[in-house]
Amino acid sequence: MIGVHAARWAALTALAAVLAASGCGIRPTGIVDAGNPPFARGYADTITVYLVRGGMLRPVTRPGIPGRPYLAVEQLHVPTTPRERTVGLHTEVHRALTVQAVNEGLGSTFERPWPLAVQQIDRSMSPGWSRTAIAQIACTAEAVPGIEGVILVGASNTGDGGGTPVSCRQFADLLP
Amino acid sequence: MIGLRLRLTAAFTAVALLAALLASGISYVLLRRVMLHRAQYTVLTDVRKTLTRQVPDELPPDVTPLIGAQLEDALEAVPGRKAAAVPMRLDGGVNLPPRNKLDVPVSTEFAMRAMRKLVFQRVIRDGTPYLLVGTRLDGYVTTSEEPQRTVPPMVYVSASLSRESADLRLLTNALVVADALALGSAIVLALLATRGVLRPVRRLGVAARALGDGDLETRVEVRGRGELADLARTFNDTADALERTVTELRVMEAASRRFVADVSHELRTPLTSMIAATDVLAEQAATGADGDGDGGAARLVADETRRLGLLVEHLIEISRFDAGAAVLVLDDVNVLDAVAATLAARGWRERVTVDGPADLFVRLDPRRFDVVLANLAGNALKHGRPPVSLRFARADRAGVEGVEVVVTDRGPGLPDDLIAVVFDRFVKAEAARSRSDGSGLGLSIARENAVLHGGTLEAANDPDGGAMFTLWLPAGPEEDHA
Repeated sequence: MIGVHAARWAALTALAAVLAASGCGIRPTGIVDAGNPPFARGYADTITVYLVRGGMLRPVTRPGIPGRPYLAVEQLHVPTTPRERTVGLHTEVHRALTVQAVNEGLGSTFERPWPLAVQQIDRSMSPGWSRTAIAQIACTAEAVPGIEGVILVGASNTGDGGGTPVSCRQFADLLP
Repeated sequence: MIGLRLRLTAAFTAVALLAALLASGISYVLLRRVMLHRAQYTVLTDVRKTLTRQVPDELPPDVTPLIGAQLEDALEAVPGRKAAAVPMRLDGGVNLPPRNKLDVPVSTEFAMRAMRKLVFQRVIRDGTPYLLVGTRLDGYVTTSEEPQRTVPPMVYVSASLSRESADLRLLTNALVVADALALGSAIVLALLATRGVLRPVRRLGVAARALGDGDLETRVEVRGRGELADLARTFNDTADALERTVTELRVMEAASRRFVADVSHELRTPLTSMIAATDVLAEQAATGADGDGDGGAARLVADETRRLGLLVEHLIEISRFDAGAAVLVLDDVNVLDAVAATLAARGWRERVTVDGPADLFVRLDPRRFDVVLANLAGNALKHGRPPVSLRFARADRAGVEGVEVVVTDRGPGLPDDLIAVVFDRFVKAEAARSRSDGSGLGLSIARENAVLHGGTLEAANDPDGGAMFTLWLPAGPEEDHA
């Protein structure tokens, strides 16, 4: 009988040990590998950015990002890529821009195609855009499908809500 | 010694408890694994899908903060998740996300591992479990010069597992309740089952006790074909064998007793004649003129013949006891009168001091009472020394009314080795048994008579010297067979 008792207690103890080892609730783990990193396979149309060479505008294409249709305008102030530099391209826009389609949030009556409102992110400084820069902005914006015309906010009258409409057509002399 | 039922119940319950605990423990572990796997799989798949879908293989320059913010928004769409995108360093080092951006801090080791693979880790922080996921992106195109500008960021996500934790707590509670219920029903079932198992055992026990008490016809019912049925069969076989043997022995014993009785009866008739004849011969020899010697021899023959007659009478009496043929003929008797009559009939009135109440009436068999008293007084007179006293008084034993008669003498008393066997047949105090004139059956017969009344007869030595025989008889014994 002693042996049976001992065996029974041993079994119970083992069970308790197993339960204690596995524990209740969620246990922390070490760092676990879960396969290879994900592949970047997002799809986005390429964007067209108007850069400057020899005072003339030159369209170049860059890869886009999904869900960022106006990325091209936002890309204007970014330093040119090495490859663009080797062919003598540069940009006249030096400060970051923020863009907003005018159909959004303004109670607008615009129909597509609608204009794009562009202003400098840092409003404390005067944009000081050159004509070439404005041409870059206007043409790059109009290269985006569904956009026609640009409203430059804070270009001449400093941030009173109004804006200066410009169009790429005004800068035909800068286009090749 | 713990009862069999308790032990069986305990074992049954222990087995049930063990099984329940094992089952619930295993199911708990399995369920937890499945639950956590699913939760982890969901988070990992979300991260993987979001990154794959949101990040193109080629990036425009300087959009890391932009795409990082976009990824964070997408990954934090699920409640309980927080995400941080940090620029990937190309010099082999790692950027850690800012503290408080995630629910759990990211260690450098984790970040290093995340540089190579999609990795995750479960972390408990402030009692809440979190899943921390970290990865970089693969399969992108960058430029050889200024690659830093077009590399997608690394992403860390912390996902709270508090819902899974709550589910597990719920499961634990349910299992505890279930186990408690299982334990309770196990105890009830065990009690029921052991009652079923132990009923035949108890029946066997009752039967064995009955057999031990002499009921040789006791048998148990053999039911089923288990070990207990085997045991019952064995019990019955044993009881059969025992009954057979005991019956044979009884038959043999009865035969030998009948033989003694028959022999005694057969001897009585010739002995009666012989006693009469030898008495006449002794008489003639004593009065004849032929000589003195012949008279002595004839007297000896007459005495011995009379003794032989007494022995035969005693043998007949005791064989009646053995055969169970002795019966009580009860009467209301005044003890003092009965004692006086006994002593007077044998001429011992002057030699025995009687002491006792005159108005003590007891219901007993006067003939047998006379036999016992005569035997005790005769022994005291014959083997002890005067003064012989006979005291009687009312005495209750074990709540039963009765009368106690004590006969003492002033002799040497009984030898110690004789006290235990003094009531056995043919036991005599004198070494030379053949010369004693008693039959050696007197005390046995006295004892049988006492027992027949439902009383006792005991022998002891008086502390003051001399033998002491104590007779106790119940005042009104059951009239059995009368």
